[in-house]
Amino acid sequence: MSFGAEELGDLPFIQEAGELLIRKGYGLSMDELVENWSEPFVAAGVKRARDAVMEGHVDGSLNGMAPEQRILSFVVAALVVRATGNQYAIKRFALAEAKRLEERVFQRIRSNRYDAAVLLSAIYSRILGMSLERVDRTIGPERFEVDLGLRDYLSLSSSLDASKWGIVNRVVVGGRVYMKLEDAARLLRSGIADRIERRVSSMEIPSPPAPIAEAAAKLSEEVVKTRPPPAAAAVSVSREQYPPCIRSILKRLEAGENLPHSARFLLATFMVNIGMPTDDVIALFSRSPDFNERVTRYQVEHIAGLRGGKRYSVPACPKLVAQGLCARDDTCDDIRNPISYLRRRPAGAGGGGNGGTRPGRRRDRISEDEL
Amino acid sequence: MEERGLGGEEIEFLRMSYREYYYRAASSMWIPRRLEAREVGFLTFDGGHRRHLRFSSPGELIAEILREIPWGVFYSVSLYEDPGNPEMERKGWMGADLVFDIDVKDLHPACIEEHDFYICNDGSVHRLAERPMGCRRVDWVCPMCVEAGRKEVLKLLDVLQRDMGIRPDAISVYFSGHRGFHVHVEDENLMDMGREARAQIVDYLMLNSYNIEFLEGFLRTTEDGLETLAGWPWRIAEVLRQRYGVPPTLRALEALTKGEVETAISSAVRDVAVHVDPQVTMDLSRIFRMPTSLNEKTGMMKQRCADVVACDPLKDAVAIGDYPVKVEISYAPKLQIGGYIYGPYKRTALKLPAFVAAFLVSKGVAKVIK
Repeated sequence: MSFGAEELGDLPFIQEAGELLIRKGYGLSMDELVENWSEPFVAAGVKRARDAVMEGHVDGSLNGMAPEQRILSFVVAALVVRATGNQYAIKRFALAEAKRLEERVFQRIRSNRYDAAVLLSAIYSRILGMSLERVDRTIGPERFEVDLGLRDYLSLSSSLDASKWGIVNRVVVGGRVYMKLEDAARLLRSGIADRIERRVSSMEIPSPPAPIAEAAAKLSEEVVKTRPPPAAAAVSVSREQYPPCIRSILKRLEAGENLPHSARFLLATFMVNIGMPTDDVIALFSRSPDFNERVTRYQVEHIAGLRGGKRYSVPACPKLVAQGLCARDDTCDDIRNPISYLRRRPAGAGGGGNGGTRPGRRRDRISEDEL
Repeated sequence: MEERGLGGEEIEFLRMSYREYYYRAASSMWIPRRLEAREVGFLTFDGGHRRHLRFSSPGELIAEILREIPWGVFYSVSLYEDPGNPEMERKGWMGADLVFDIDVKDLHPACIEEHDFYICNDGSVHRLAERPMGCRRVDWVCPMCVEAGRKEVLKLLDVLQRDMGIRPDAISVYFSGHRGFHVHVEDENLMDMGREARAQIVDYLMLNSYNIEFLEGFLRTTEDGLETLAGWPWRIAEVLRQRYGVPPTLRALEALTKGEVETAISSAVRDVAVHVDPQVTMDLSRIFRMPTSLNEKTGMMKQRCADVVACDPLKDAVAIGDYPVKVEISYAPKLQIGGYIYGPYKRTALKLPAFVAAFLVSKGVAKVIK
């Protein structure tokens, strides 16, 4: 299927959206944009950028605008975010935009499941290059509507909570993972955020026109003000004394990576159990592009036993091996739990190992759970 | 390696036997595809390791094997732009085969308690349960070990093919030459999977983080509904069907188990889960034993099992010749290799075929007598 104008309004980051603008008589030159700076789509775009980066979601009021106006507001928002030059802001923007698309797909699912399946399938194939096949297969009491190749499923689900999204908790047959439409819509998020992030990062704006530069400067200022500095300094035990798995996670976190749920759980339980104050643990996660303080606080406090009473212990090494988080090196000896690493290593004797970085695809993770 | 206490004579004997094998097998050695992008590593007879070797052609690799006569030959499951670079980070990772290691020890067959033992410096031999201090454990291998491994391989193949949709011709099964099986998958589609995706595959096979409600939910159906099951829910239902002799709908199970449905499912999960070594599948910087090379733990070769049901590795993987070699054996449980049974032996000197002598010497329980 080809996307209609209404759909392109919600897919403003793809090439066909740009083509629609040209068909509707909107040139895309920077000069033209600046000349039209008083148009409503500009204000909507500047707000869209701010909402996405600072609030983590895009205002639903956009939905009432004509498709080309929505696309234009995205273009303005993307230019502003790009002009901040701040990779964290770009990631936040991409994630919020991906969530917006997801919400639009959910609305479609609620109104017409058949149409939604066609649309989802088109989004998977045209944007992600993945084949989401429509099926009608009943397995036991469950009815599945779509399936996706195992390899593609793994790449989209890797940062999601394994208790729901791990393939062990999915029906996998013949190399295809069976799903309902809602799951297929949710699974899009990381792949779409990745596409948007790449799209925005690749925009070249050598000398942004004054209005864009101003909006970007304002947004930049706000981002810097609210995004706390690296929290590593707040840690009382020196970082070299952490076991390699923890050092590896901290490194990834600092590189702006959205960590899988399992990695976040490990980091939080470890820090809570070595006695790091809850606020400091939360601050660690604030480096994450999908940081949501409210949710993180709730989860960290839960882990610390401040809610519900039970304090969670650090997962044992075999579990971490199974989750792909173990970065064991010679310094680990035969400890069974990362927490034992500190007990057996006197201060300053950490050394060894480089945090266990491995080859492989590590980028592009966006996590469902905000912890 | 030193802990086996191999002396000069023993090393010399093994080396000579390996040389004879590698010269004989040179033209039929298995060579990994895209060899030029693989790291090759040798375990040498002085106990050292030579890693980060790069060969641009099969001839070059075989020439080096014949020159070095390594104790073990390994190749990287990963493909690299610069496989010879000693720094892992700089090799330029391009993808990796998907491999699985089934180690019989992890399957805990009853035979292990019977034949594995500890041998101490004073020559005394102890059963596993005694766990003597400062003594060396000797792992043995018997047909029951092979059967345990074979059963697990068949479970693995079923999941890889039926669930993961991997074509049978992309899968090769090997006996490791010691006490396990290696399963290699060469599927271009799966090559670029990183560590975490592989961890997911392992988690699927081992059913480590399965959600009981997920499995239970599939049984909340009619008898006809059970016929539509697939993947793990299907395997679990089949085990329960055999165990209770009725179609295992949730309703039927609740009555039969007196409400202990979850316990019944957990027990079925233990039956169907596939036990692989997670690290081997996930570790992309690992070098893996090369098929048709000899295993330093036994002198047998890593041998293809083209027909998993029918292959007889303890016979087929014998690679060293059968010329007689005189050995003095401190202790050896019964050993069945090459189609015959040898032993058990205790403080004996006798002539044995070279491949049996090589096995016992490699295990550190026999000395060569000139």
